[in-house]
Amino acid sequence: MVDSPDDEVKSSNIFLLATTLSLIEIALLSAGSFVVAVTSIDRNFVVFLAFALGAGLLGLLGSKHVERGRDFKAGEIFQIIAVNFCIMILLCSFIYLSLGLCGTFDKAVFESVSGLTTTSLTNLLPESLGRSVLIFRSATQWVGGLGALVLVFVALPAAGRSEEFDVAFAKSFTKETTQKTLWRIGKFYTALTAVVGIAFLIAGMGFFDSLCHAFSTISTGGFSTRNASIAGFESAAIEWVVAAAMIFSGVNIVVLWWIWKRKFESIVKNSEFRFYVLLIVASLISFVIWIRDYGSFGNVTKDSLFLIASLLSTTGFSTVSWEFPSAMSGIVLLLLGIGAMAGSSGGGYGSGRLLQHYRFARRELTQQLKPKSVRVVKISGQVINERALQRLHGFTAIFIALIAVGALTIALANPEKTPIQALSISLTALATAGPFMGSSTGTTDLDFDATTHVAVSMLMLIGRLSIFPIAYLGVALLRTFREGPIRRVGQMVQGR
Amino acid sequence: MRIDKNLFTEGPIDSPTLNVMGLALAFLSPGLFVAGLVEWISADSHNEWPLFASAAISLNLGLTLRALTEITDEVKPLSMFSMVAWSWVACSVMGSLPYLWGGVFPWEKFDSALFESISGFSTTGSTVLQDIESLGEGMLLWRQLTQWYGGMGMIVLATAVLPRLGVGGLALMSAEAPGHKSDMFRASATKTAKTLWAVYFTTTLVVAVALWITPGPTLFDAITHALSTISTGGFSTYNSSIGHFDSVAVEIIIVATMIFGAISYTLHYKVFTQREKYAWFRSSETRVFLGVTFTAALLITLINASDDLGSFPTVLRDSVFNVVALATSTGFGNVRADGIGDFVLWGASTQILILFLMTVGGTTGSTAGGMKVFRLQIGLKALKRELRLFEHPKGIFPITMGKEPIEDRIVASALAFVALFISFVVLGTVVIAALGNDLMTSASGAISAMSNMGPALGDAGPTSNYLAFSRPSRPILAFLMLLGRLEIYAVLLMLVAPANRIFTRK
Repeated sequence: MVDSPDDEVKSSNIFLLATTLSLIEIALLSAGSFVVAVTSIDRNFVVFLAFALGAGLLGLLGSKHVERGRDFKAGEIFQIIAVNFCIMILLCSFIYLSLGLCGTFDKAVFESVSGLTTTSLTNLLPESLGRSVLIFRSATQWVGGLGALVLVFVALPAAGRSEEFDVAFAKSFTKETTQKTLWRIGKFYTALTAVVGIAFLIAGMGFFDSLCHAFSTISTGGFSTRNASIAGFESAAIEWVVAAAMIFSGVNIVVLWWIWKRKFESIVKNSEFRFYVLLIVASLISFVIWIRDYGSFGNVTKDSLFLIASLLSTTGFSTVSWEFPSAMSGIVLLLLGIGAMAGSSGGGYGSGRLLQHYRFARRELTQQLKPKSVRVVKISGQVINERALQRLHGFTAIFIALIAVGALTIALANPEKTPIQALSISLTALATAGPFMGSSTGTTDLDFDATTHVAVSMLMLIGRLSIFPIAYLGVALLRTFREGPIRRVGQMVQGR
Repeated sequence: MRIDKNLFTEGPIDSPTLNVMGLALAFLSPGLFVAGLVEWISADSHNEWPLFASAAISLNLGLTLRALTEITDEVKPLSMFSMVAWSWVACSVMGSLPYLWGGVFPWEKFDSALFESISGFSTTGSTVLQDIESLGEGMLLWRQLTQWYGGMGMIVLATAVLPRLGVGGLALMSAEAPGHKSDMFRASATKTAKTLWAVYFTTTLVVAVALWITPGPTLFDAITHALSTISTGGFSTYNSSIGHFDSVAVEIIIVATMIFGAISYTLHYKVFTQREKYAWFRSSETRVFLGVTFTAALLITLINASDDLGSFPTVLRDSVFNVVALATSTGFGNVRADGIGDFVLWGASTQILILFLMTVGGTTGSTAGGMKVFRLQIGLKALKRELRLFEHPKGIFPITMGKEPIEDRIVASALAFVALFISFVVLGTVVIAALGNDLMTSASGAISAMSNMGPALGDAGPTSNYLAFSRPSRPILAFLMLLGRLEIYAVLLMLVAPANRIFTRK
């Protein structure tokens, strides 16, 4: 690295850009919440006003110094997204602290990470919060979901990973330039939110509830305005609609785009979509059989579908308490781990990756019979190259390692928890899903200590940013550190 | 694979599978005969005729099969998988006959007899016997011998058969120590097996003598426990397993033997026959295995000590013993009244560590089960490569063991194995849980069976037995044991060869 001073200038630019971006986002969110606070006569308006003005001014100031219209390298985009997330988290925690909702800093960080990573682990009782806070929480999830989509459709192709299957068919969606693609994602995401919101309105939610839930549904977030989550509405119609909306938000937005463009053939041909539907149908059948004695057929189907949608899309709304008989809990953990389709705002391992892994294992098995034959792995008719398969293995190894380390940390910090509970918390956090297994709806005190808050927050963040940007950030930090302080110390030692 | 020509490789039917199955069955007969003799001589029970009869049947059946079938020169990979898997199944069925005839299990519980036998031949060590001590000495010896035979089979499988199929990972070891390939691979399968069996047999004798001269175990105890320790099996002749002896000396011998058993036999071969003293430590897999075991023992001791489970010497003793027993996939229990050997009662974090240890297992070419350390190494290296690719997206980073790069094919095969292993554990867990056990018991039971461990966590811990699992889930566990023992591929492909024979007749 000869041109290290140049690098430093660039990296500070990226930091500035990401900070400005976060400030503007926070200003907009706060402004929105301020409006709600004023209209609902809520004392929180002071805090939101302060943050809207403060962040807005700083953001404007920053935007003057940001170089525009520059093309970014893949690593830079990853870093922007990661830094953006981190600063948003920091600012959100300040807001939560100023609102007096969380006593300690770690709780505030946990709360804001949970929001921005579209998880729905929370210590707060929604019904005790003002409307402005509710909309703010849901809106952070909405922003988090948007960030995830930008990651998949802008950052990954830029990183030269467009040959990877999960973004391979994104070509029909992305545009030539980053700006245009961003714009299209923004518009489409907003449109989807509007559709979901209107559906909720028709199903019988109030206007405010529809808005909040649309935000947290389309982003697969899962924050609700009721203590008992969706069960709080006590309406079958709403449950059906929310279940359907969750299933949709777990679908790759390219597939949704195809519906809009009426390219139904491509949808049917898409193996991942078929696999996703198969997963839903298979688990629905097994759940319905399992809990058939607990109510009428319609109710059982409704509850099962809702649970499956909530798990698979990693949203985390609930209508029943999440305590299951053992076989069901096995499947629950499994669905949670699998997660949504690639290219959606949902988290988890990814049903596409699972499908790819299955095809890969099948290839290896048949390869044993004819060791000298050459076989390829195909998804949706496209050949997956060996390089992408290697990446898949790297990802899988990291995913499993993270779950294990997370579970171990949680178990060490909470000796009273059983191994299964620790595992389920770790998995829930990494998949950015919702209430962990064994917790019942309505009880909000998660009773975590600071270590657990930090560990779970880390897992959520890594899970949301799907490992890559975090790794980029780590590598970038390491490089800055290696070339900055360490080299300087080395030069000092050598120079004298 | 080249096989030496002799009397038994020519017959009217061309089937290598049946031929090898016959060989395996004939091999069982001396063991059954010796067990019968012991039962005959022993004072308390006289159940010898089932053992003698089984010996006669296995010998007859084995020789008949051998005489009727022939092996052609070149054995195809598919036939190789199928002969390994079917031999194992045949031995397990044969091994369950004495239990049924001897009244250990009533005939209507033939599944339990088969479970016990499969658990023996796969060197798992899970038992469905309520009271082990009620069996006669000959029957007990046979039970231990099944594990010893299983270990013998495993040595051939791991050092002579699987490497030729590119499954086991021994090819990696040859990459690490170039001298090794020329010695082991030039020799025929039979010759390799014979040399390694000599090592196996000698160590069994040494361990038996060592156990005998320590105060406590009788000659019978010493021999029976040597048989199941060297094979990393874990069957004991006592209900309280090793806890019965309550002797630190016995535990130390057993710990050392278990570690020996979990290290590759090709390395033992080099150390003992070629006088390469440092061959053990030159293999990175062994180093990682020892490192993981040592670290886990240290961590678990510390966690248990900080949880105030007992006085420090007791904590150290029981933690180390159990960690080694679990890491080597042996699975002896060591529950004493004054100890903390019942690891089901340990903290959640230790149990997670235990589950991890159980999954990893021993090293390639040993009798231990599990995913095997080298696959963990490859997994970690894949992870590391992925991280390095972040820095240099266009770089090419081959995965290396020692200094030589590993072929991508082998890497892919190892990672596919891990994927299959995990999928079967997950599937097994869900099915067992559906059949009525809690999640922890089901998950640990599936892992324990897949890695040929023995005890599980939850309800099926070291003080309990596999009767804690519902009856329909036990055959599933037995299937998982076979899957784990035969490195998955063989079992998945075992039905393909006969199907080919039936459906695609020339």
